[in-house]
Amino acid sequence: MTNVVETPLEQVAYIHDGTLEGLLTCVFLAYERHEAPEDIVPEAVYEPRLGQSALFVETEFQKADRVRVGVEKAVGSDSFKAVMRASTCDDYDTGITVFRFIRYVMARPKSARQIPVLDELANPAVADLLRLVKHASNEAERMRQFVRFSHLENGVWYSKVNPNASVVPLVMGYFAARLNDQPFIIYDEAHSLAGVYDGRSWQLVRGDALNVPQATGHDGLMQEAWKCFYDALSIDARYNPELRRQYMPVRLWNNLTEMQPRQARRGDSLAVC
Amino acid sequence: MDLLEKLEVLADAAKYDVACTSSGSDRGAVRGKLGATQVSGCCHSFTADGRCICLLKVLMTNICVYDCAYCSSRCSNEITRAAFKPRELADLTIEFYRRNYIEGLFLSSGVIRNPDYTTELMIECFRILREEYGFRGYIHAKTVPGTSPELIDRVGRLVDRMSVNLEFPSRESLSLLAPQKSSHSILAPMRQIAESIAESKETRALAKRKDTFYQGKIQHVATSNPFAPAGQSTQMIVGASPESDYQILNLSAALYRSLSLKRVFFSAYTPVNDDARLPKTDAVQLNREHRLYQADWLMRFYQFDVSEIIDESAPFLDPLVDPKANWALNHLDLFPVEVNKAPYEMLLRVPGIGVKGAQSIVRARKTAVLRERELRKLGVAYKRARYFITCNGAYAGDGVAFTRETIRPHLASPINGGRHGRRADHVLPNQLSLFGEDEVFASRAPAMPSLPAKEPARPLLETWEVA
Repeated sequence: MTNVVETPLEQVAYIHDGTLEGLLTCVFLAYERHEAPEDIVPEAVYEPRLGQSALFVETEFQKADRVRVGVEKAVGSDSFKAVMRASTCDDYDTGITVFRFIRYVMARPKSARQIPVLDELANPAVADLLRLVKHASNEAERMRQFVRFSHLENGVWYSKVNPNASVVPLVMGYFAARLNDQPFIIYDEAHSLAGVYDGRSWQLVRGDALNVPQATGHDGLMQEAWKCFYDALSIDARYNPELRRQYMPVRLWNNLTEMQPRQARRGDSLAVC
Repeated sequence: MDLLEKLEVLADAAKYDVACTSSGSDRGAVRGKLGATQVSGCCHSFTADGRCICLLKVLMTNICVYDCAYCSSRCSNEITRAAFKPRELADLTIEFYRRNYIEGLFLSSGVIRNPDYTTELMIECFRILREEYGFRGYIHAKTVPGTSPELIDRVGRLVDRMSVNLEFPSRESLSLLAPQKSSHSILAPMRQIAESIAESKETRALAKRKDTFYQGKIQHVATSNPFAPAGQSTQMIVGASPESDYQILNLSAALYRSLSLKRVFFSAYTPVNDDARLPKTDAVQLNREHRLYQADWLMRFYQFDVSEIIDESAPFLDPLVDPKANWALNHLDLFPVEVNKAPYEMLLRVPGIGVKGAQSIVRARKTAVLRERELRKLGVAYKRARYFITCNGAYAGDGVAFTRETIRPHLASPINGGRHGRRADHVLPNQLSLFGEDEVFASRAPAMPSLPAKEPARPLLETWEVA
């Protein structure tokens, strides 16, 4: 290992692989290289600014873990959990917001430590992070609400989702606990990330190639039953689609069973349930 | 009749039940068993009217021996009748739960043969779910008025939440519109449930205590199932009978106080039957329902007493200004408050500052001085709050004199029910109309059929007691 000290770059963007470890490695490097990066972004979305140089960062688990230890030691594990949640967001400024937060907490004087840093809601370094945390938490709640499993012929329960933050890791524990006797896959098509539960433990799998067998015939019947139930429950005199859109965003509808077209049923003149 | 048709009929008949909540019960997951519940509950879908679906809300059967004026399943209506077999319904619940469609089951029923027979059918379904399938999800049971106490006790040990529908805000309306239900048959189970819940909580708290003063640790004692751990709720129809908001809110306050109810639901009357005893109107009083819920929230989360929200001299809530803003406008002597110093209880009373906003302010002001910019970022509705606060000594509502008349127009906000929907107020007050004034405002106070022998209003639970 060489110990050559490089001149700090002025306008630099750190490019990582899109994982939390990659992001934390970038934070570590910023300290190591005495630089203040303008952007910290995943490679897939990077757009260079005028006059900006790019530094491609190799993810190193030890360095990432040193950042975790540092944050937890300085301000506790709650703050690090907030960092983890925030890092799932897709916003372009996610990386730099996390970096600013970590830089703030590491420089925070010891005398300020009686008050939890996450209580400093009026501090921009904290408020910006909490905005991302809120966004990720809301999206995770939507996944808890709107994941729809279908039963495949090989016995696995499968659900396709399209959240606007990579929140599958945040909800896998929840589903693995309550549906612990059924192996399932939650596939996030927007982030090409699958959470796989095999009946004992869950893990994350990255990738686009996913061959999904057909759903069982009984599953089709249950889907129709659910659509039927959904339609029957609405009161016409209270029709209010704006309110429905507000609670159930349209961007999620193509993965929702009840928003799919109805099958024609025996005795129906129209193809509606 | 196949499953889908049956489900359609029995879900359609259950849709007027308002209470669809899966909150209040905390039952962690257990390996090998299906399901869990969390205190906050979870909404799994939203219907075209914007109401949430979190439970499989169905009737056990819509066969009913009662003939209530307002109900679509009453025995004098000629409709398709259906009934679930207990196991069939339990299986459907499990199937839906595994697909993450629902949090559990909400089971109500028409009265088939008699209340006890009906309840036994419901119990059989709950028993299969809980004891055979080991289901740990949420179950809400609607109790049929007139059920025996022994059966109610059995239901309570199997489900999370129980509810008995009060149906109407007064005994007179109940006996007029639901002649076969007596106020006693409704209040007796409510009392029994309230007492059983309190007793069960006490017993479990004692059994769960970790140590005693003298002996140190004590052994954990296995207890029976808790009785309805998510508490009790009720619902009443608003707008089908002549009671005022004053009576309705005082009744719900009394229910919260004396029976420790978790929720009192209001349901704007939706005409389904043509009946001489019911008001002749097509308008659903959704705005009135909205204001009642706002008042209900003030009592449950904002430490308001019912007497602060409404009084007998103005027995209906203001349709233009929400009840909290109305209170603030009537108590301008307590305002403006300094956001950087005011106690939490006072922050809660400021229009535009909610529970979360007040909590955020208390947290944030430990390390920073809060001004407009900070407040806006904390999620406070600053454009409403500004007339009632000072930020670091400076009055925030500048340009507007601090009087009731000048502030009120800034707070008046019509309820936005969306562009669609048959909300009660499509026409703004003072807007030119082809129809007369009467017609415009008819929806707000529909013509009521007069009640026989109307006695002076006694707005407490006593109006519900048998004389």
